[in-house]
Amino acid sequence: MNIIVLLLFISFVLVLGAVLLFVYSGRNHDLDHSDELSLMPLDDELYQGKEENTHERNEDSL
Amino acid sequence: MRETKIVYNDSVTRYFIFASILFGIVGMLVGVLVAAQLAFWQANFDTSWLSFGRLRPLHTNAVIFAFVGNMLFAGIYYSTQRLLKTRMASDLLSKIHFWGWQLIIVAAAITLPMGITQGKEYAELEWPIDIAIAVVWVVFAINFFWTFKKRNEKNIYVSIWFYIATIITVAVLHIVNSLSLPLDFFKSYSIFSGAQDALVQWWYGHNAVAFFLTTPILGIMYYFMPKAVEKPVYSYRLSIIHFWALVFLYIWAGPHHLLYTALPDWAQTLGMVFSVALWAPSWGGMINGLLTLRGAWDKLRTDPVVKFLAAGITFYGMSTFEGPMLSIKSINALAHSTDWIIAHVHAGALGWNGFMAAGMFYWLIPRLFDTKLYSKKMADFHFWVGLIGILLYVAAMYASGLTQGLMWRALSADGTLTYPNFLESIIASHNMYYLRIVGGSLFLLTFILMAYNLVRTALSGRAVDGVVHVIVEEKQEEVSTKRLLMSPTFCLVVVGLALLFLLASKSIVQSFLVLFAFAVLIVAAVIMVSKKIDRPGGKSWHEALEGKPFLFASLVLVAILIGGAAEIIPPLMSKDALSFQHAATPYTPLELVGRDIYVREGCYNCHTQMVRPLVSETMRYGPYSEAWESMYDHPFQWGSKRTGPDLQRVGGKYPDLWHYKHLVDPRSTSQGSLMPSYAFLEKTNVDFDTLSHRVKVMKQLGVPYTDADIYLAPINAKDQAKKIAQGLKAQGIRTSSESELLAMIAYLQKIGKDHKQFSKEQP
Repeated sequence: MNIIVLLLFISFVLVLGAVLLFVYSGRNHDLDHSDELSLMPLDDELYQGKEENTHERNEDSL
Repeated sequence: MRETKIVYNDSVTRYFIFASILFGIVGMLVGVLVAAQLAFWQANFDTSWLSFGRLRPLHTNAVIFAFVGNMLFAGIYYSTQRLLKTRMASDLLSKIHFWGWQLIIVAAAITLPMGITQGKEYAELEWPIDIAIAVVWVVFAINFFWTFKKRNEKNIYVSIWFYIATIITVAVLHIVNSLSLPLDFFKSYSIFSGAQDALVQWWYGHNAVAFFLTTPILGIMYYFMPKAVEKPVYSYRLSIIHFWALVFLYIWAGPHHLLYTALPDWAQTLGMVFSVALWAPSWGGMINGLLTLRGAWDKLRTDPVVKFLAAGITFYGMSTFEGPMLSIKSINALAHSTDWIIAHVHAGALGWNGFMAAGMFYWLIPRLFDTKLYSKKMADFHFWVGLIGILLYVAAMYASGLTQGLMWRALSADGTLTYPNFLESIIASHNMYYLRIVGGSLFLLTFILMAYNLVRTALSGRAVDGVVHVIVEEKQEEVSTKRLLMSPTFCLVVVGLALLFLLASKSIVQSFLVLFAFAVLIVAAVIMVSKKIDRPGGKSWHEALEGKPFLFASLVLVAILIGGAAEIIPPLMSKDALSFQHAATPYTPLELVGRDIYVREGCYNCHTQMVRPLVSETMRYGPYSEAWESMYDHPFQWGSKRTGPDLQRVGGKYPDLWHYKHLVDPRSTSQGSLMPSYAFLEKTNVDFDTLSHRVKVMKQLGVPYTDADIYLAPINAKDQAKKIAQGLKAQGIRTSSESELLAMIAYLQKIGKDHKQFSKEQP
């Protein structure tokens, strides 16, 4: 069997499935938690401070 | 609940950044030198350890592992601590990781110019260093996953997924491709040979690009781009989809480096198709990165960090469109082995990796030293002039690459080659090589300017470590790992994935099972993402998975193993899969030594040994290469770039005298050649005492030598060398019969001889 034929069919099935999945998932609000997760890089700015790195205080310095 | 203060270990980040900058300069300096050698052959300085064949691997290893390697570690250490809201688990392991990696780089810088090499691209380092890499990588992995155990943030942000994929996959790739049998402390032979070795090498080689140069930088993009523009990532949902698609598809793409070679057609087709499919998840990343700028486009004008990150992502988009296009066989037939591939690589390396590094460094250093950037104008200058450098470089290489590809395939009206002499294409490319030096030098100079800017920034501030106060909550009841693994969803996924192994089969029944497997996978994916695993309104399967890093890592491992297994296992298990028509004759001991010298000098960097089944190639070189011809080649030396002609049919084409003259002074036989002189080979003798051991190791690897071959190896080699020396003497050349030059001649005269012999024997 020519593998191109097989792969084209599989690709079609994958694309169709992916589209259906996308629509279904979106309507179900399945990934709403992701809106919260996407804020993670920005969240740590709210609480971040800084502390001076000195050899005397930090025994583990390189 | 209790509040706790976390002080991040930012020392290690600072050290990795400055190591990256230092080795970036070194790696690019070597790059400018090798570019100069391709324009002016005199820049090889007639010195073995400065020759192109030995320095090009130093350049690639330095820029990939030293420059980008240190950069990605810096980004991972900085962002992981903040995303997991905990300090790295072990300061000791962080130190071992840092210093271990730098020692590996120094070892590479010493051994590669000495010619201590395994002769496989981006995996040249010999076995002791390979072991060191594995040890340091394990240290890194332990530190990373231990930090997970101690995290104060339950969910894993998308950047961490990319880091997990990097750690898992690089370990697998490195271990498998580095498998070799040592000859001595400085030399080993790949356990794979010929077409199998090619497949393993490019499974590794392409996925080194994928999981060392792409996935960790995508993780860095997902952290630092939102930071820089103060906006969340455009679509987190898109990041979930493109992550899994990328991780699964990338592994299959390796054979696109072997199109129209002696690799079986089924493997080439898999590589091509999956490479084209890879365009989508790659652009998912690009879209996500660029559209994060929504509402903050003005920062492109005002902030050099955003300029670098946005341009870097744009270059990523360009490269990940071009790559799939180059993976199509008909386009690859034109582009393979030309400078077009060099253009493609450097658009990605300088544009994506180089500019992402710059953006990250410019953002990080002021914060790590609690100060402002020393000069924003310098950073802007760096961006624009560096960009011009990249564009000059790639434009020059596109021009020369297309010139070469078109000249190689051009046929005149009478059906003969329009440019029968390979050197005509090199001469035609020469001006572009001058331009490449200019482009590369501009990029390097602006990189040095960045180094100055950042050092001045650091000196104007003080080293600070980030501090965060976190509220540590009592552990909530989670969905158990056992429940996840026993769920119908997961079982369906396992069944579907297992059936994918049948892709390499030829049976109709098994093919339909594969179709069924894909259908099962789609259904499973729908259920997985949508079904609430514990209660209505509760977590979805993927949401539960995101909180379980070890299970997540295991699934990543499964995803990446599939492609490798499907492509690599069939050739290993079945000779039929490689379609060996005949058996090659093993190299004589002298030819074996000559081959080792060929590998040592890095001849594969300029010469291929793979005539493709294209009309113009067979007209130029002779019959196309077949897999059986290199079946005993440990490692394979098919090559990937032609700065010199293909050598697959060179055996017997020229007399020994021609080879002698060509090696001592290439321009005496080939006007316009860029090849360095290998006159030094005449001054170095073969160590005949080691030949028995060499042949014995080859026998252990499966080459059909006899005990007599092993015992008589030194005698046979000396006899063969004497014959060559006597032949040269008869033509006026007096040379030692023990020199490495004669061994190299012996090897060159062997290449392709088996095919001639079998062709004569055919009725």
